[in-house]
Amino acid sequence: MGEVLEVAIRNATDQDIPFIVETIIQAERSGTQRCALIQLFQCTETELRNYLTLFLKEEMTGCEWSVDSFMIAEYDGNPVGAFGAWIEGQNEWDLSSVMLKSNLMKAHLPITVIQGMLNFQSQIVSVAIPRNKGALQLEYAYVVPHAQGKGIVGKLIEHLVLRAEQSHSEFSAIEVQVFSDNRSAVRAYEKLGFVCTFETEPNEVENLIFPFNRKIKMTKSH
Amino acid sequence: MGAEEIKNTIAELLFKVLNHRNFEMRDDLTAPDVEGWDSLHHMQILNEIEIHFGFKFKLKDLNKMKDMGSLVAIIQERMSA
Repeated sequence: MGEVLEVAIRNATDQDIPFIVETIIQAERSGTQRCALIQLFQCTETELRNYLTLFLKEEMTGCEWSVDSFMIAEYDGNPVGAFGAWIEGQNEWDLSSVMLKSNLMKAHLPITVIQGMLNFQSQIVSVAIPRNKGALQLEYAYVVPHAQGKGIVGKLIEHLVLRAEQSHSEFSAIEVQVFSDNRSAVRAYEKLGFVCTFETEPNEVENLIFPFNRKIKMTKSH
Repeated sequence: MGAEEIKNTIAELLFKVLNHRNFEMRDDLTAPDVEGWDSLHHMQILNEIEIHFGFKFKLKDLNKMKDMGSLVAIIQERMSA
């Protein structure tokens, strides 16, 4: 392991929304130039940033498009990394994170965009992995390029787990979903004790909107 | 508008989006009980309901929808507002 950067970890606030938007877009890209949300919403990157900002401004908890899910790693007063986590199904509405995301999209996307999303139905289903109710879900990790490889993701996970424990919530497992071809991410989670517990069938469509064609779920007991 | 009338309308809209009638319009009917009613089709169904009834659901309405009974109650509330 290389040099460790001494960062401060804190809960995200609305002030962090631009950095969280960047985190979501970079994590969606998984190191490629392909961002499925741009295809899915049939929009430009600027429009996507606007949509994500609208989602994040809502008082939402319990999914990956919620400010409350995120913790921020700061170095010298500037955000250098972020990671989101929530306990699946544990929110004031008792809804799954998929349904909460769907509600955010329904509330903010134009009807025509929602109708257009049906064109990608089979692709979405092909990489959909069920989340276990009551498990701590990790989603959307990003570290700015100059701070990568310095232990920040591991530190963010430590704090996300600690925060979940301190919220008096009991959870038996920690889950993270990654594209299986994102080898560096898979290796990093393996080093942290995660093992592959589910994998989707490879999607062989021609116009793949996702960075890679196969997703896996990695789980760590708690 | 009465609950039964709203339910009958929703049943037709479900058929329009899902292309089948393999469901019973009980108050405790939930999306996972109905074949094809996934999160993507959920948004399409809500689009159709909004277009038919002429209003737009707010996020707080959407998050309150647990089953058919709560969906009907929210529509009644919005119609009487």
